[in-house]
Amino acid sequence: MFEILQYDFMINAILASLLASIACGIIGTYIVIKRLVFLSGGIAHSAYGGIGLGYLLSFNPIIGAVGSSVLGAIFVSKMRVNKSENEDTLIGIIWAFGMALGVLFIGLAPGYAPDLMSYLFGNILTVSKTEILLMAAADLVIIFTVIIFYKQFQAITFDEEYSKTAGLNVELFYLILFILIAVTIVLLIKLVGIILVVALLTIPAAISKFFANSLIRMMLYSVVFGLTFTLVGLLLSYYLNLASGSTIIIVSVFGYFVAYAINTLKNK
Amino acid sequence: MSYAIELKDVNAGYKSGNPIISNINLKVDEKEFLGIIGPNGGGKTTLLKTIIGLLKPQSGKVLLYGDSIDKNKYKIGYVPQYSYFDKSYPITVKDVVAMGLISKKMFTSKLNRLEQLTVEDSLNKVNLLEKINVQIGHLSGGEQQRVLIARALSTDPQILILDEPTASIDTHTGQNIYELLTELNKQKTIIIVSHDVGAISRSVKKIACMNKTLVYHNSKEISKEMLEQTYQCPIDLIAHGVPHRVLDNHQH
Repeated sequence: MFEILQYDFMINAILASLLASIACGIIGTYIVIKRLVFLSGGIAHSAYGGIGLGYLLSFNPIIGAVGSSVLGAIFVSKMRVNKSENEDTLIGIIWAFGMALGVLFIGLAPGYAPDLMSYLFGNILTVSKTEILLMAAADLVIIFTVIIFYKQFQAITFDEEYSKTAGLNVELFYLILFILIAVTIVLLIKLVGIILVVALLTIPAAISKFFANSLIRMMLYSVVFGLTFTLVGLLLSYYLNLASGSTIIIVSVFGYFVAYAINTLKNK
Repeated sequence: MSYAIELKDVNAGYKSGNPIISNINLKVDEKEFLGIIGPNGGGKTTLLKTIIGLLKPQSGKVLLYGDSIDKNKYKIGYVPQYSYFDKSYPITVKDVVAMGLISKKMFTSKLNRLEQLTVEDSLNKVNLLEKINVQIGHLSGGEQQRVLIARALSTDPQILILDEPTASIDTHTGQNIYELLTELNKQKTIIIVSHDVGAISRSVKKIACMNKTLVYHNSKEISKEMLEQTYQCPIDLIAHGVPHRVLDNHQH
């Protein structure tokens, strides 16, 4: 089994799995607890605009993805404050607009874009050293921010109105949280792609919610579940020659149903 | 002396030109226990949100102790309905109560000694100290509501404002909550909103009726006219021999 560790791309893939699991365990916990799954989908798809722009102007598409998904997150959090439009309408708009821009930019770009599919569906085996370093940096930012603002994030996700009356700048903390979601999504794009990213953000956290009695425990369990699913998925896809992103998601969904069944039996 | 709360010609709502509540004038003395009743959709919650500063009035003034809300925000303890939040949220009673202290602290998740004592003291006041480490969702509805009262008490506010504290709670538990509030009223001004006319009138000192505007007679009695004006349909009140003095303690 350990012969696969002699390949550099495999070492990179395992490192990427670990780094992505950390980010998605922490941020996925907030997504599940505050029901931000649709928002995450919208931010993920808005990333495609930046990826397309990267192709068109020949810079690293991942940088473009960070830019456009963070812009999408800022847009939703600003408009959310105004309450002039429903949040889910806004999310729908950035969702489609991001995809449309991406397709348009790629159409305008000269030549053929060979690894475009990997942004949509992920290809963990093509993760580069630079991307690993970017992921590590993003993980540090996420961990650091969540440690500092643990109480604040807990307060706004548990009871937004009360937090306002207690004098907390709720809008600011939501903005920070949405930006962290955007950053996490971009980290995950290489692993499972834009379309499947939502599953990896929600499934580990949803399973942990069955067992955890505090946010911090929920985050720790989610990291462990996320890492298990990505590694099992990675190995299966390698040995059975399957698409890595899809295999990871299918393993996660399977894990969810097992956990759901155990939890249902336990509570009977 | 200024009033604890004073509203002058307040209009408020979410869309400009279409206020949900209008021409509200209200003066609440210190250590008052005011109950606000009215039909659903009559603007009770909008009025509360205006008083606690979550909603800016479209016109008119809201004063707390003769000063603006922003300056005196910390004097208010707000208790939302317990049914508003997610029961499966993984959070302990202690962390919910500590949320009241949030604006004073910026970093880390640990409470210092003083904060720990404040949380314990607040829980003691609502008789829930033994549940301090229990997850909030494992408590009964009445206990959850008392945790929210403890959270409001953690800042030692002069005014307590409660939104339907006995909604979806059984009568006996509701009674306990009113007894707790009567006790707290010895030190604090309390405003409570409810559609449960019977329960509220046993505990409060004064009653106001809210439907788009506020009818306030500066007394505890509700007249038939007042209720009819509020609910806009004739209502039979259970009066025991005394006309226009209704919904008081029933002597059977």
